[in-house]
Amino acid sequence: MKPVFAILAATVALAGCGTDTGQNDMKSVLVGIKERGLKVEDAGTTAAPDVGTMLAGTTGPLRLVAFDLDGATAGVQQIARNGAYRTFATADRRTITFEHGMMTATRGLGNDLMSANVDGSLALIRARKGGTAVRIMRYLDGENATQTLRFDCTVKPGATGMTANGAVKAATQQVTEYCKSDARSFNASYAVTSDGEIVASHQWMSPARGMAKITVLRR
Amino acid sequence: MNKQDKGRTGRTRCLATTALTLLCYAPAQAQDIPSFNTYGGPGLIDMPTAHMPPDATLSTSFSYSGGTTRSALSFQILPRLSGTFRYSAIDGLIPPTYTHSTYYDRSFDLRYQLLTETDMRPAVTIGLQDFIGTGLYGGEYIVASKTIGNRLSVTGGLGWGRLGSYNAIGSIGTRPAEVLGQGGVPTYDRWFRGDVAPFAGLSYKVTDQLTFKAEYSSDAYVTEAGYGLVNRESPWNFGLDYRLKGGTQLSLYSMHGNEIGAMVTLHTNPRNATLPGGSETAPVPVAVRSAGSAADLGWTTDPAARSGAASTLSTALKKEGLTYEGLDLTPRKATLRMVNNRYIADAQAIGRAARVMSRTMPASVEQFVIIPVVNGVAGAAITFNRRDLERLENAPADELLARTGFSDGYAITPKPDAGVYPRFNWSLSPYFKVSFFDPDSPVRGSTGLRLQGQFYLQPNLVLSGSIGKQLAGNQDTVTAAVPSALPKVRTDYARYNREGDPAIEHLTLTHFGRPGQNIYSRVSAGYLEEMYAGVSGELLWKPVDSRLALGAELNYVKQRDFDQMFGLQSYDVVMGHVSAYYDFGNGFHGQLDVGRYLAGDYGATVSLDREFANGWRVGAYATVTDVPFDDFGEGSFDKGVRVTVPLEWAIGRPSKKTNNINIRSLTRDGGAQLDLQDRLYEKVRETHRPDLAKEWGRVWR
Repeated sequence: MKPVFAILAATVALAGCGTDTGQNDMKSVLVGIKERGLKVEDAGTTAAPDVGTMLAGTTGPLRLVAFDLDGATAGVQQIARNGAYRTFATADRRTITFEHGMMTATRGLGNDLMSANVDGSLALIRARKGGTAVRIMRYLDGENATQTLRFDCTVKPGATGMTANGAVKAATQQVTEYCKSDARSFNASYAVTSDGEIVASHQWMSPARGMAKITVLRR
Repeated sequence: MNKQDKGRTGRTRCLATTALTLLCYAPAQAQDIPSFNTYGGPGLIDMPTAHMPPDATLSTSFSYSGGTTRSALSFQILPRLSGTFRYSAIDGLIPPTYTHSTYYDRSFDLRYQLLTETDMRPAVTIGLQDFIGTGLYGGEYIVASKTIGNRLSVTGGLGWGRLGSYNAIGSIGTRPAEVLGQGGVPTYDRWFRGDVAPFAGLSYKVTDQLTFKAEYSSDAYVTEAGYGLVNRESPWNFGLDYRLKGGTQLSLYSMHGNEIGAMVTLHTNPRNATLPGGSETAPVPVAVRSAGSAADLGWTTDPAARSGAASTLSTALKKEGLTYEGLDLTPRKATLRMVNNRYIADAQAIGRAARVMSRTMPASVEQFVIIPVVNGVAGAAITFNRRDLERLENAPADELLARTGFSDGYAITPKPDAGVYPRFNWSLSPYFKVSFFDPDSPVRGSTGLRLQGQFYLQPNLVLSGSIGKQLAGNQDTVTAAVPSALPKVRTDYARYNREGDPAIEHLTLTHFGRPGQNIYSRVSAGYLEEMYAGVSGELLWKPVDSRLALGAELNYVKQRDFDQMFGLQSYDVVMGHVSAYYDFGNGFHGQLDVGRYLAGDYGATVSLDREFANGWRVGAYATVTDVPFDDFGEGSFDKGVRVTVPLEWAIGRPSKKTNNINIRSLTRDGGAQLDLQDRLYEKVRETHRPDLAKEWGRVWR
């Protein structure tokens, strides 16, 4: 039996200052630690923005996103279009991509939806028809690998009525979508116009983010 | 660095990422983690169970009972294989010739689950406890555990060695008592030999948080009782576990019928990120060209159009945290030279650069070639067809990977634009160092300030220096002289610590080069590390698609003065290695170095790491040289465990920084390696296909 003696050197990356772009400065690291987690202030303001001001501020397509998680609301403005996919952004660079009003991707919200195949559900919902469909949603896991969630969904048309938000006023029909996987399930709903546009909806984003209400203010 | 953050949703907490105390824990799989015992592995109170935590679980535990403190770090290496490193302090156990009042011991365990648990059969695990070294805790076991219903788990097993020391029911051969070599060698001559004794126990979940445990121990605590430290009145031990929300286990237990003990165990898992996918802002979306616009080549005759495109690209890349260095623009192809200092996943940097190019390059450009440059030299050239980016932006990332080209950026990399070089970077930052295992003071730390700078005379020629000044700490009070039969190439570390304040940590001029296709080079000269100055040259062969790399390094170095200023001592040596690196492709990475070490000894180092695509790494290495075990001294040969924790994983926003924790068995003079700043391999592999493919999910993030 002998005494033991060894040395262990642990270098800890602490924050500093300088011109080295690889160095986070102290403040940003501290802010990073403070903001870590799913703080919805990241996505906009917690107070509902004034719709009139938003509409006056731009002529382009506008939507309002309200997160069930904590009630935070943010206005989003269209910044790009790629075929049927339209990408909307908050003022502080968080984006949501929609395919005919159905959410197919988010960026910068945490636990982002990386991509989705929603064609089956979308076709039924836009046609305001009942039926079943498969929905695929992809996320990154902690190792940066893509994890695919597969849901079996049942779409049911419901009541008709008027939907009026911002510059949008249209006769719509409510359509519900109940989706279920082995691990989870959610109930989404959509207000769909006769020409198959989703003008208001309640959709599921991600395991961490949960559901969000999306209101189309200008198409 | 002990910042605690509860976060609003309380999803993950991280107390600190220093040293043995990896106090970070991600709770996602907390409910699957079995109870841990005082040795820091899955078990009851002192006895092991056959349960295994989820793959890649990294656990830190501290236990105290009757003068014995055990700190342990356990890692689930594979779903059925786990290892533990433990550092124990036993107050009052003072062997002859020992000069301290507390006995310190390091030990390693390995466990393998032979059978997983099913409805019908128990889990069965075979384990080696303290299987390298002096064997104070040496014991082997085979144990079965079965869960009955949701709350009860029963365990029974047979133990040898220490675990066969009470009420043996038989004996298999004889168990030798003498230590092999100078300790530190696998004690294979003892395994499963000598007396064998049964042990048993159960655990019952009273509530989801509270578990009651009881065991019949087969460990007689012979050594401790011999020193009068333990009075073992009973083989029955009892315990209570309280599990916090994050998975942290708090335990109280009674042992030997007369001792009370306490323990805390923290768990983390590199596979569970703080915030999967990160919280950084969105990338710019791909801009899709309008139909027919690609035919417009009018811009090619306008010189202002080219420089305009380059400057818009540069500005837009900057917003993504990327550094533009040069652009080669032809009517159908744009080749970008850039530096990524922001994203630990290079795939993310490349994906962001590609989207920026889609918004800034003239419509006729059909192909984007992105060449990330590290240390002024090109690695891989990543080629996208612009139409693929437009078409696959909303598709799964692997569809883009299948359409992405990887080739060597050698000879096709644009030159940096005028004005980019020379460049100067500097930083002033606090540092924090911890060292363990000095019997005079088992935990030592120091904190101070480090001023460092890099002056890039040319893109690939850099003058780099770093000065450290200690502000507080007790590392400089290490006085223990380490006996050595070899030239004292490393064992003077205490003197270097004491006298080098402030210290020139390094001051070097380094040239990086690309002598040919697939070949990388480095030549460094100056004060290479805190103890050595000299010249160092390295060559690396690493094709872009290859999981194999081969390297060679040759150094001539002289020992530096203890004050770590400019002076040199008389000891010098020519040393170096040939190296093979291999990415096994299943998350494991191996390295073999064969050559001459600092003391002039010849030998080889074998390293094996488990790597995670998010930058985490947990590994071990061993160096054996021609130095006889007796001359090497305690430990017999150099070996250690190392953990790398990426800062991004902990804070959930982009950073290339990592925390490195090296638990070296003992700092001795045999098998000692030069501690160079800029070895080529780790940087070169970052942009090559095998590494990019692992993190490719990030390309659209």
